[in-house]
Parts: sequence; structure tokens; C-alpha cells
Amino acid sequence: MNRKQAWNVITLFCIMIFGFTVATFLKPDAQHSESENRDLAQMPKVTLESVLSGDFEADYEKYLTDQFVGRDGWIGLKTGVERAIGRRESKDIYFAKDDYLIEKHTGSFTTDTARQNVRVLGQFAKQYQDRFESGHMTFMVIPNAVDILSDKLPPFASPYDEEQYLKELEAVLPEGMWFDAAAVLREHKEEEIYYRTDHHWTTLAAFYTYQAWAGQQGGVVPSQDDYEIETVTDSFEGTIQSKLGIRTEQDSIELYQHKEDIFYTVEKNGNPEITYSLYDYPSLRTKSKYNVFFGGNHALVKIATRQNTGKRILVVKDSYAHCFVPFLLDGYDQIDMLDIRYYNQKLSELIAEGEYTDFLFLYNASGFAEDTGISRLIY
Amino acid sequence: MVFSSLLFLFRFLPAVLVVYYLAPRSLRNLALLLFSLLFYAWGEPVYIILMLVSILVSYMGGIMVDQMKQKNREKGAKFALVASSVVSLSLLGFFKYADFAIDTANSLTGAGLDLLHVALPIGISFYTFQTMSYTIDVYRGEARVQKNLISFGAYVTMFPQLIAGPIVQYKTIDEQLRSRKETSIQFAEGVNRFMLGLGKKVLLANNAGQLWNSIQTMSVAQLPVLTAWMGLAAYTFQLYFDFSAYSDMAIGLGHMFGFRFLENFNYPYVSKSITEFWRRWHISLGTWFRDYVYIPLGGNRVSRLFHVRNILVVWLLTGIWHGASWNFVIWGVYYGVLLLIEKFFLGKYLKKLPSAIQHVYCLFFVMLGWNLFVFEDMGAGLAYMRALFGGYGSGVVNREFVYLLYNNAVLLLLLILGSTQLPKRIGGWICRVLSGNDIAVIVVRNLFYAGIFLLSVAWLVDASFNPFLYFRF
Repeated sequence: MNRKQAWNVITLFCIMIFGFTVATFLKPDAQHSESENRDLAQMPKVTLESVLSGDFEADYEKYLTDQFVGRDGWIGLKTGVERAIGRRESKDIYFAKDDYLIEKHTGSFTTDTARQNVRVLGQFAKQYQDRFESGHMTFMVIPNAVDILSDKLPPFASPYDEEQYLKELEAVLPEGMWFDAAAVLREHKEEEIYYRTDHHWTTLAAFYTYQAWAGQQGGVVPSQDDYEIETVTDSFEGTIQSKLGIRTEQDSIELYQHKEDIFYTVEKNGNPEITYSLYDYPSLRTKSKYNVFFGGNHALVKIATRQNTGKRILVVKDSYAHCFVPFLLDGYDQIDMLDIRYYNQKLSELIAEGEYTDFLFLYNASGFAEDTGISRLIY
Repeated sequence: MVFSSLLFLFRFLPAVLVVYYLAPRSLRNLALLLFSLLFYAWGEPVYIILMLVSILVSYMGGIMVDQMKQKNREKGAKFALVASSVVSLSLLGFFKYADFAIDTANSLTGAGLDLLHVALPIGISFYTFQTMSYTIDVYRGEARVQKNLISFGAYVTMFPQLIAGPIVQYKTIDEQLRSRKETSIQFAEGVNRFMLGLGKKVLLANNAGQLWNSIQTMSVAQLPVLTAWMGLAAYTFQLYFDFSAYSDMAIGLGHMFGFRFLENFNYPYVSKSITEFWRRWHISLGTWFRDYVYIPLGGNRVSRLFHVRNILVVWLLTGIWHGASWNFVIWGVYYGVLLLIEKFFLGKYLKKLPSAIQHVYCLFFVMLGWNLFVFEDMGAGLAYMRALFGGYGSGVVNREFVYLLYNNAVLLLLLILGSTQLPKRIGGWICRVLSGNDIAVIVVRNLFYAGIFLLSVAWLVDASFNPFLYFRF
């Protein structure tokens, strides 16, 4: 190396080191990452204690990483390079066929939590076995895309087989309580039943599942003609895509609204303010467009209808239920939707007071296996 | 603090460069010392006291040894040397080996003594060896005494080599500590060396580590033979690219501040024998044991029996230096035995074999060595070794292997090529072809290194898998 070359190296080095350093100081801190849909780490407080324990140091590094200038671009660069060198996955997400991004959920089903949740669910079902009439207590745990859309996975990919876990769940439940949603979805695996960019199932998938379940219950089997189907967005970029920071094909969200007029009221979390819609349209203008259903997660949503069926249902659920519950509108006088993760009262009291005739448990498989709050079912 | 972090690249490094180069020459060692203390204190705020004690002990030890020697009091000099060495080794022994000793005593005698649960201070094995080499060299008359506490402190704490080596012997940088001249060419070489190391760590070692991690967490009894070997190969690469990357970054940073540290790795995986491997792997550690243990014990200028003993002692110590756990002891003895076999028996036959077979022989035993090294739980280590040889009857390949292979094909190719001198030769060839054309050289070189740097930043921002492997050393 001669002096001229050396000075060029040094100049470029200084531009990069000092340039990014200055840029990180100039960039104002963000509270929240819209694209990653999470709160970002903030500047930690300096105290003697936190510095000596090393907590401050660790938090500061997290803060620096989260707030780094051009964060989304860097992550996208990394994903792009990984794809370019022939990797078919990044951060436990498969780059699957037809532009699907599919989460692997490796390890979710073999943890102690996953094991314990199986036991708790069995115990819960037995505890309330006699409280509901036979056939009026149903458990559905919806397999994730990685299971149903396995044909779309990269060649030779062999993720954990979710069916194994679902079989264990079925085995701990009393006869007649398990509903095999996986079988229904597998029949429709060529259709748009999971989002390409998001971890949820689609409204179409929820419809097929509802249709099969309603049929099994002996009620009227609904058809798609019973609903006004409206595509409310075609630019949905979900949570999986956010983790990768790359642009891929966007998703559409469909709403299925009963053609028949149904009058209902919605009350969220005991809030006296009553609304008249299951849908939160402003969410469509944000990143989290799936929140169009109920505006996201709430501890307890009470829906009252004037259907005069004499039936009242309690749905214990995660967000997979948000696009499913609207199908229940015409069949019940009261639909209570409980998210145990956010509910800080006793479930047993709610069931004792609610005069429910029906019970539905609806989770997605990986969400259920990972949920550390499932044990609250039996409090 | 580690080099491969945004904190180092965009907070610490710019700060230390500005202060260092604004400081007058007489204050530059002080600047280095203060920043090095900050570097160490970040994450180890309490143990900095321990390091300062260790520095003071060998600083005073050196002065005392020197004064005794000036007065021709050989015994006094020896006493000062022994005293300071005993203190240094006691600190290392207590903080690194106390719990290991208690645990071993418990399992031998069933005494049931409580463990002390002292956290291992980062880098203690490195800096203890450095300070000891200093006092010993002063005693031997091979190094000048350093009376300036700031310069001596800067030597011990110097952040480029503080936490993961190389083990810099005082005599090799004595002159540089007293007077050095930083030049633009040396600085630029340091920049490139540092970026190369950063890329090796963040882009190659971490990804190899992730592959190893994904295979290591699979159920060992169900690992097909080839998957097990791919996993061990991934770890073999991870360790080399991680460790040599730290040395690259250390040497590069040293250049930026006008220091020249000796090389620590010399393409160890191209070796044709275990003897050659250890001349190419972690050279500063091998040199240290040679100079301060092997040769003082008599080296090979003794009867064959003592020669064997000397080799085994060195390798027992080398093993245990790497961590306070039985697997490291066995790993060290494993190499002692292999080296004895090569020295007294196998060596002359080995040389007659085709070189491909020599390479395979060497890599095979090195990889088995890493199998011993990586599992602190000996049971898990033996189970993994069993999988390597098909002991569970889980077949040779499965779907997962094919998937892992094609997903990591480019990575594995880069790791293999990167372990040889090929990239260096290609670089040299490009420079020769472009020589005389300054602009072209500048463009190609800067594109290459800036590319590595920017990709490394992308991986760091994503906060992906980025382990620090030497906390056991």
C-alpha cells in the first residue's frame, strides 16, 4: 500500500465510522416501530446500581441496536443477502413457494410450557365437563401455516410436525370435545387460507372451519352466499414480513358480513360505551391491519344480539378467533369473547355467572404451545 | 465490551480515536490506558479492581526484580519473581479454578462443600499470562523494566488484546510503548485488517455457529452420521473464524495505534500433522508455554522420560488454561498424547503418505479434539462422538441434512476457502494485475472492505446470533 492508497482507506473508514456515529446521535429516538409492530428500547437511566450490576450497559446496547439509524434498511439488506446466497430461510421463517413467508415454530412444541399446557387443557375440560350439555363444549386448536401448507415449504424442509402435538391435545380431552380443524383446512390447502405475510389464518379459512363445525353441531350449514364478502384492503403486510424487513407480495383482508340483518351491540372490557360494529376500520390505515377485527385484543368482549335462539356462548381465544367469531352472530343471543392473557379476574366466576349454554376454545397451535398464561384457565 | 458490536464501532472506537490522536504524544499511553479501563469496565465494572491489583503486583514485582539484579542479589531477585508470580497465579487460581477444585474434591470424597460461585473475570487468563511473562523476562534480563506505571498499565489493559488475546509478551512491544510513530500506511493496514476480522466474526463465524447450534440442539440419538459431521465441521469453523477474527481485529486495532502485535494464527486447518497444527493455532499461547514452562523444564534436552513428562505437563496445562472443567483437561492430554505419538513414532511414516491423506488425518483428529472441547458435559460429548460414528443406528443422511446442506452451501464453501491461503493469493494477484493503476486499486480495495463492513453492520443491527466464546478462558 502506498500513501495515497492509505489515505483513501482512512478517509472511507472515517466517513463510515464517524458518519454513522453522528447519524445515530442526530436521529430522534422512536418510541415504537411501526414496521416491526413493537415498542423499541429507550435510553436507560444511569444509576450507580445499574452501572455496577452491568444492567445499564446491557440496556444501553439494546437501545443502540433498536434505535440504530436506518434499522429497517439494514435488516432488509441482511435478508436480501441471505436469499441471494440461496438460503431458503431466515430467522426461522421459510421463504416458501408462491411468495409465502412461513414461520417454522421450531422448538415451540417441545418446551415444558407446551407440555404443561396440554395437561392444563385436559384438566380444564374435565372440570367443566358436566357444566355444559354434551356437544356444547368444543376445543379447536388451529394448526399453523407450516403444517397445512407443507407443500409450499422449500425442498427437504422438515419442521416439527404440529399434528403430533394436536393429537396429544385431542387425547387429553373427553370424548366429543375436540374439533379437527386441521382436517378441514387440509381439504382447502390450495386456497387462500393463510396470509402470505402474517401469522394468522384468513377469513376464508375461518369460514370453512365454521361451516364444518356448524354442520357437525347439527345446525344449518352456511354457504358463502349467505355473506356479503368485502375485501377491505389489499396492502396488508403482516408480522412475519416485518421481521424480515423485505418487500414481498401484499395480502388482502376479507370481511364476511351476514346478508341477513342482525342487530347487535358490542361492549369491550366492561366499558359503558357500546358500539355497533365488530370491525375497527381505522385500523386499516395502520400497519396492524388485522386489527380491523375488533380493534385487536381485549380482555373481554360482550356481544349481545336479538336472535332469540336461547343460546349463549363463551369463546376463550387468542387472535385467531377474531375472524371466526363474526360467523357466530346469527346463532347466539350472547357471545362473550375472552382473552385470558389480558383478563385479570377468575374464569371460574365468569362461567358461574354467565348462564352460558355453549363453550368454544379457539387458539392457534404455536400460540397455544408458547402461551405461559394457559394455567390461568383453571383458576 | 466486544469488537463485534454497534457499541464498539459507533461509540467506543470513534471516541478513542479522536482522543488518542488529539492527545500529545506524551499522553497517548494514558489515553489508551483510560479507554482500555472503560472498555473492560463495560460489562465487568467490579472486576476492574482485580485487574488493577494484578497490574500493580507485576509492576512492583518487575521493579523489585530489577533492583535486586542491579545489586547483584540473585536470591532476592528470584524471591521477588516468585512472590509476584505466586500472587498472580493465586488470583487466577481462585477466580478460575476454585469451584472446579471444590467440585472435584466433592465428587472424589463426597465432602459436600459448597461451591463459591465466583463469576470468572473476563480475560483473566490472558492478562495474567501477560503480566507473568513481563516479570519473568525482567528476571531473565530479556526485557527492560518499565518504571512508568501508565505505560505498564497500558500494556496490560490495552483493549485490542485484553479479552481474547493474542497474548502479547512485554518484550515484543517494550520499544513501541516507549516510542512509536503512527503512520498513515500502518493505520490503513490496520483498518483493513480490522474489517477483515469483523467480517470473519460476524458474517462467517456467527453463521457457522448458528448451524452448529441448530444441529447441537437436535436429539443426538437421532442424528444421522453426516449431520453430526456437518455440525462438528460447523463448530470447527466457528471456533477458528471467531478466534482468529478476534486476533485479526486486535492486530488491526493495534496498527491503528502504532503497535505491531505478532501473528496468532497461520491457517491452522491446512496443517498436515498435529505438530504442525499447533505451530499454526493460537501461536501466542503455544509460545508462552514453550518459553515459560517447556524450556525451563528442560525441553527436549533431557532424557526421553523427562522429555515425555515435559510434553505432557505443557499439554495438561494448555488444556486447563482453556477452562476449569474436566473436558478441557482431557482435551489437553489428548493433544499431548497425539504429539508424543507423532514425535516418537508416527511422524516419519506420516511424511511418506500422500499429502491429501496427511490433511485428512490431521483434520480428523483436530475435529475429534473439538468434540471433546465443546461439550463441558463429558456425557454429552461422548454421546455426540457416538453419533459421529453411527453408534445410534440413525442412518447416514436424512431430509434435514439435505436441507441444511443446500441452505448452507455458500457459507460452507466460504468457510472452506477462507481456511486456506486462497483468498490471500487472489488478493495478491488482483493487486499485481492492477499495480500501477492507483485508482483501480483504491476502488477495488475499498469496495471489498466497505462491503464487508456494511454487511457486518447489517448483521449486527439485526442483533442475530453473536456469541462471545472465550468467557471460559
